[in-house]
Amino acid sequence: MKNYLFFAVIVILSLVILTSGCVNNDSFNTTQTYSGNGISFTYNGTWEVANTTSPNAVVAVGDPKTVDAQKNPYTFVLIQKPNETQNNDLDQTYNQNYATLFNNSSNQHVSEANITVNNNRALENIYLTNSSGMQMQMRAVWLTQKGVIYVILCGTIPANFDKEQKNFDLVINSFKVQ
Amino acid sequence: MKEMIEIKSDKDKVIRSLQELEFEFAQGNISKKTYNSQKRDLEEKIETFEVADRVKRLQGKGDSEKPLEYWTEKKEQEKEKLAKEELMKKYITTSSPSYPSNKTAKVNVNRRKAVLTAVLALIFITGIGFGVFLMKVPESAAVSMNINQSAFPPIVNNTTNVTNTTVLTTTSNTSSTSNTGTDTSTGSNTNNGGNTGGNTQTTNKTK
Repeated sequence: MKNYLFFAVIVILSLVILTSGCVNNDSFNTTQTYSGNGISFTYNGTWEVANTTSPNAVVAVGDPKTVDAQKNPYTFVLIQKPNETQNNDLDQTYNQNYATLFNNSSNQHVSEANITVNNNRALENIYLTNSSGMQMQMRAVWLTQKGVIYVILCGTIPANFDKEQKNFDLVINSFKVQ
Repeated sequence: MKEMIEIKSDKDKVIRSLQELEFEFAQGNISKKTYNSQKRDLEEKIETFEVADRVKRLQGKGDSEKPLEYWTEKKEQEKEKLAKEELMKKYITTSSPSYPSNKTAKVNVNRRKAVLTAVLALIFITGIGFGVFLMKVPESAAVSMNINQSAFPPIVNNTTNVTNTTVLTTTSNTSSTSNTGTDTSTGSNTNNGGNTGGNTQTTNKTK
């Protein structure tokens, strides 16, 4: 009986040791929180805040594992505000923006929808675009908080678009204007 | 032989009965009359057994040279042996190993523990090796990333830049002017005059 107990302990310990060696880092669900420039949101713990030269950009975060030679990550989330000279009507600003954007043949409309983010109405537009010779799939979420329009632009390559939705949703659903 | 053994055993029973009778009489549990009567009967039986024993011997049954007690004891020994063998079969199973000595048992246990410990150490090292092999060390320095995408379409600038440069050159005998204008918005227009002069004045106008 004692021998069986000893053997069982050995087997259990072996399973624990072998399993611990096979744990993938991606399985860790760590997150980070950004707070600044009047907004806050939560994003993937392995991502980092990026520099941005985009117009009216508030902040940008990206996946450092996806950077190219020019240090441009192809998986990112960028938060912008439309030009202040424009009116604050969400639908009008949204429609004007994409009326111009899709005049360019390098941008291909995929879908759009009315969605709800934290019980607030938002507009979502998904499209394909060519960026620096690489095709990207963008998911832009337009929403208004405290009277200000924000655009959360989530982008990645089409092959990773579905896989990255959980990271995009993390930012979108946690976005708050302070 | 079997009959002789039976006679002997019956005789022993009678002798035991006689002994018990004498014991009972000595204890005073039976009367003298009863004692004498039963004793007489038992002694007659004993005499009968002895006569029968003598008759059987005289008939010559092969191994009858040996006394009857010998065969009785041998029979009892065989019975005891059979009983022992049955006990052995009943309580000691054939699957159980023969009882090793204490020293051999200890060596076997120690050997088994050593093998299990070696297996555990091997599994531990393998697991550690897997972990080190699959572990991705995070980069020590933060990667500086640049993002230049935008949700908004690019703004097209339709302003026109025009630069006019006028060079005046005058000489002692002749005066000349040359005009150079450049329109940068749609292309470049250059107007060079063929005159030369001694004095040079340059003006630049930019729209």
